[in-house]
Amino acid sequence: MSDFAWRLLWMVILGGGLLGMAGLLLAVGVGSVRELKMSLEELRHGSDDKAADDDAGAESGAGSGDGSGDEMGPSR
Amino acid sequence: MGLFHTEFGTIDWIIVAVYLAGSILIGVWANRYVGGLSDYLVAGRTLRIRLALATMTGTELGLVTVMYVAQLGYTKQFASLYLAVIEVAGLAVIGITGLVVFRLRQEAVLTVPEYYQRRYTQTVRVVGAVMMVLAGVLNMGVFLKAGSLFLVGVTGLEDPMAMKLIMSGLLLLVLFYTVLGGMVSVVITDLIQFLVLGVGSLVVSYYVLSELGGVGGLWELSTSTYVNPLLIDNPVTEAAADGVGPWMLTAQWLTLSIAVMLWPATLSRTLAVKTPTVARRLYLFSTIPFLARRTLPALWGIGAFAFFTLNTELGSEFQQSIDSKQLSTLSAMPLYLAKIIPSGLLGLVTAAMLAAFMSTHDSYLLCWSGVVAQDIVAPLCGGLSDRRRVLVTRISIVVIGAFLLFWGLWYEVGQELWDYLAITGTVYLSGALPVIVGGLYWRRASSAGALAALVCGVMGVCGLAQVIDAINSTFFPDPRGFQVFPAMMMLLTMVTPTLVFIPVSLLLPDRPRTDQPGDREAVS
Repeated sequence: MSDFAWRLLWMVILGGGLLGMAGLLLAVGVGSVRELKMSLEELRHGSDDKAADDDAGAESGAGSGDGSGDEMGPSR
Repeated sequence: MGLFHTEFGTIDWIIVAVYLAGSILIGVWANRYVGGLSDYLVAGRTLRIRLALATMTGTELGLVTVMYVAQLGYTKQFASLYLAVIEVAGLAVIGITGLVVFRLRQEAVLTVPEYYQRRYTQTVRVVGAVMMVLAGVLNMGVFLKAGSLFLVGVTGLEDPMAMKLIMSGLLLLVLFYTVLGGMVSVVITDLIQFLVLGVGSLVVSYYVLSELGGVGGLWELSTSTYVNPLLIDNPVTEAAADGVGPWMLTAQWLTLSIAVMLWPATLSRTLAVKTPTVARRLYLFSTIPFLARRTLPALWGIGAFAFFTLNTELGSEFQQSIDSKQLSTLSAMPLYLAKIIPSGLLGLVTAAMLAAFMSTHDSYLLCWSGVVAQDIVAPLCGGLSDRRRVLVTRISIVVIGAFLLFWGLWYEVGQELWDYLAITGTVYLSGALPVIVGGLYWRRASSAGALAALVCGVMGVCGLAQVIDAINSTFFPDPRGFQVFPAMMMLLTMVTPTLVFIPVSLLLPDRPRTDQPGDREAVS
């Protein structure tokens, strides 16, 4: 490969990096903020559900009092 | 204009302080969303493609990346961009085929060693986790120094104590919000950091390009610099064999191709996405930010090279500082930016780079400490409650942070920063390659083979400059005769575990598996 071809390749790569970052900011920026809100909402509901489960377990006497509800594995 | 002259002023300090205070508030706020271990380590697997992509960019475009890519741009100019081609090609192949990551996400594990137990045994899991943490923490050990070198260069703080205080302060800040909010906090801060960093990197690139005379000036510059990475001699320096060359190119190709597939911090984001398909798509779309992370800082390094070459007085002062070991080529880019970017914008750029620093540190801290809790302490203790695992993870974050501070203060990197990172990464990658890929695609892969491969990964440290010097002075004392060199050691240590894994698996196959209740319990 000649030096000219290498130089041309690197200019294309550098241009791709610049345009890529600009495009990424435009394409992902706004959408990702919306998706973050959705994820936080899901996490909040998950936490609420877990708290409700723990409360129910404690009321029915199923819990050991040492956080046995914590023994469950992570959600899959 | 002196070497440490900077445009960094009061307004810039204010911008940086506001940004850092915001990060602390986010850490406190995110804590309310952490319900259990899954929330803490993988944000409850709630990430969708855009958010995952933004946070992955935040993690992978860290300040250490900016520093080492700019250093390569300064020392090897355009030829340094070969790493961008290798990395993007590797990601594209994984993104199109789903190689490894699709099946790994299907396994629904929280960490890579958890997969080791599912496929092999608990012993493989613990040994694999130890190797992973060893490699990861050694790898991460220089991040802090790279970050503080940037800040010292940009702000013009010459006092050596200033660097130590900056390192400690930055680390404490990251520890604070990572310990508190786990992956939820990491995802939120990474998103903000992605936005700040993206804008900041484009602003810097604009100023660098303007300083170089636009695209025409850049093209002109390429005629008198190093462009062909196949040449082992860099034509702009007098020293012999200080370019890339075929050996290093091959070693880097192998290491980087495996790293994009198996590096745990990247995989942890893959394991946090909603579905295996999103995991595959994440890799395909990641080609864009990964291209940016390998090119934009290289452009800044090339700009620094042109600046110090044209400004002969400053250039010779800088070279003298390097020769007397007061500075290294890592400082070229921040010293250059401090002179070409006006006050106000320099504060924004510094905040962006701090964003880069923190977004990598938080993810890495969480990743390694999660492995300590999940894959070393929990299996050895016969299982831990969800709450205790979060506690162990938090303690591990603090312990690893203390080590990073200690290592960052005294360890001197004997080679270019990227070479150090690649070599320490090899300790994990070389063993993980056969164990993960073999486990997913080869039925005869055995636990004995996996253990042998993982242990062989320790050989990776043989690529460090200090170890190579010791080997040469002991076994090959004649400098004109045969001597081992970094690229050779990288290749050797990368392929050895695979060469060990295959025959050991064939010679010592696993017994037909029966249900192991203890294993299952610990896996979950």
